[in-house]
Amino acid sequence: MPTDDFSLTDHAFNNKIVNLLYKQLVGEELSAEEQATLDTWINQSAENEALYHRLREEPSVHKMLQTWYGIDRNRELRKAQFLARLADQPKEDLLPGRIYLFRSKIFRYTAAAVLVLGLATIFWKYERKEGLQPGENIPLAKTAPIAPGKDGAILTLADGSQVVLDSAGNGLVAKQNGASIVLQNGQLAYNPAGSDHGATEYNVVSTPKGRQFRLVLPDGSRVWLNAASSIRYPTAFDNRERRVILQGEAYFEIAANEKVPFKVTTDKTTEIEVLGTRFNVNAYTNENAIRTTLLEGAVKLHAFQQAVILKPGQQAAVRPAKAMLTVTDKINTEQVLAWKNGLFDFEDVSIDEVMRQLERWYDIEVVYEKGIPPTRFGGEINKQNTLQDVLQILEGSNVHFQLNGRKLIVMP
Amino acid sequence: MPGIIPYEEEELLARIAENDTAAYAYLYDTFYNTLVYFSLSIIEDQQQAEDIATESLLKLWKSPTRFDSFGKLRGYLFTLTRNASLNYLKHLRVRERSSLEISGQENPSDNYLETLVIESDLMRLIYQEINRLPVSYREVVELLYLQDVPSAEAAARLGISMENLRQRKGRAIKELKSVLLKKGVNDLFLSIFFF
Repeated sequence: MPTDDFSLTDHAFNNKIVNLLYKQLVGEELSAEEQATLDTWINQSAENEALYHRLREEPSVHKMLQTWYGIDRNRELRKAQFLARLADQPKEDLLPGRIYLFRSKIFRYTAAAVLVLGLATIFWKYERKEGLQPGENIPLAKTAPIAPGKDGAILTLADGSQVVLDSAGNGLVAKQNGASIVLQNGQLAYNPAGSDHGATEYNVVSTPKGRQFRLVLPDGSRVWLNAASSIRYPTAFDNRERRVILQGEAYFEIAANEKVPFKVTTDKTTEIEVLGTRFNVNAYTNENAIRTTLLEGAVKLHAFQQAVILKPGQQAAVRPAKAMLTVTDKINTEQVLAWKNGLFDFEDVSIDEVMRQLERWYDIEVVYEKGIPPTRFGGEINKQNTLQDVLQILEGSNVHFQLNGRKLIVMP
Repeated sequence: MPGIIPYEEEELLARIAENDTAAYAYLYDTFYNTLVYFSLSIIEDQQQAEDIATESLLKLWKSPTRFDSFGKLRGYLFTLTRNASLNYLKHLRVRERSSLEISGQENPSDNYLETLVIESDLMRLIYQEINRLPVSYREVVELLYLQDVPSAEAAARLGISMENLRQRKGRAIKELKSVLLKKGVNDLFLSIFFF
């Protein structure tokens, strides 16, 4: 067994070398001083020099990345096992009461809720402070970056109690009517209770602005919930129909079951009946239509005493204001699903539609000055960009922006 | 350790000493891949390396220690992982000797291990660029570049046409370029992604 210890190596120096090697790999210019530091390291040992040379050859970097990827693929599974073993092996000399406290779900989710409240307070204070200096024109690049949204939601249980869901915590969230609700890698799933059937109970998962979320319904159907949306469903479906109520936008992959039709109700106007299929429903109340887009299978749509059956690639638009139902062929389905795949797809999209998407994802409020030219955009943008980066890309068009706290002003 | 640290250093070190589950989840996210990569490079057995990294983190949980600095904590985890990896090699050699009477492998030198720590940390930084890609592009990079899946099979697995796959690959490269261009970009690094 070796006796020397890595704690004795210079952590700060190692860190510096790692960053210098990275900088050089991506092509950033090194200062003379940085280059000298790196050279010192290279000359320290033949092994260092060998690594330096390997980083200059594509095949060896490729192989290194593949090794890392192979490790990363097993990571989530291994992490779940690791966390489970932590729970099984509390340290002996901890007080029993304390272990109980840390392992208690109520404690953990209360802590999460307190954190969320704390953040809300910070934002509130921040905005108030902003508000004290009206009329100041801060250039976009100088404003504090507004981070993109992320995974997260609020689960409302049958008794009205609420649980904050985020990707940080894995494990059992609650029990409902005998079914256990489990959070795994940011996705919520129901493990049915078996024969334990009581009265039907309903759960609601809702996302605020700036959050999206995935869940698996009790029948195995998968749902991706976009920001500012909610879905209501029973904790166990009965054997006549599977009915859910949607507000906002969601993409569904319905588990096939011909005997028990799956139904999505949006508002009073629209009901979607499906057998086993993949489709997206956009039912935001601030959009002018409820749009159902079919990717695979078949769905039947009921609205205003009409019914249509959609084929893959078709989109039905229900316009409540006009009591109208229309069907469009050959929809760009990739564009419809861009939100789920981590993108904004602004191809041929009007400015107000673009802004409504930004409002939901960055949790901002948008106001317009007079005289905005009718503009249509093009192209895709990564949803992981900060708001400022997205605006900078959009400014290539005829519009300009000013940011005041979380209020965005669109100017000609 | 490169990367974003959401905890203040002092707070993290205190929470680790207190066996706070959330702090250990964070510790896992920060170190697991790096430690497995490090161990795997020594013992060349991924499953064993995964076990060794997990055991190192568990060992800390079982006898929590209050470290003076993040660097000390990191050094401690690397040391645990190195010792376990070298023990495993020794164990392997003993078994080989008894059956085959040969011992091909030598203990890796201290110099090699020190370089390996740097390499393991560096991989984490590089991989972050791929992780930042939107899902639909990342899928393409993962299949074609990281798993070496043939194009036709990749398209079939993603349920898209070959044309569509080509498009996404092109866009993925464009996206990486635009991210990296902000940094200056070396042709060599980009050539990695012209798979």
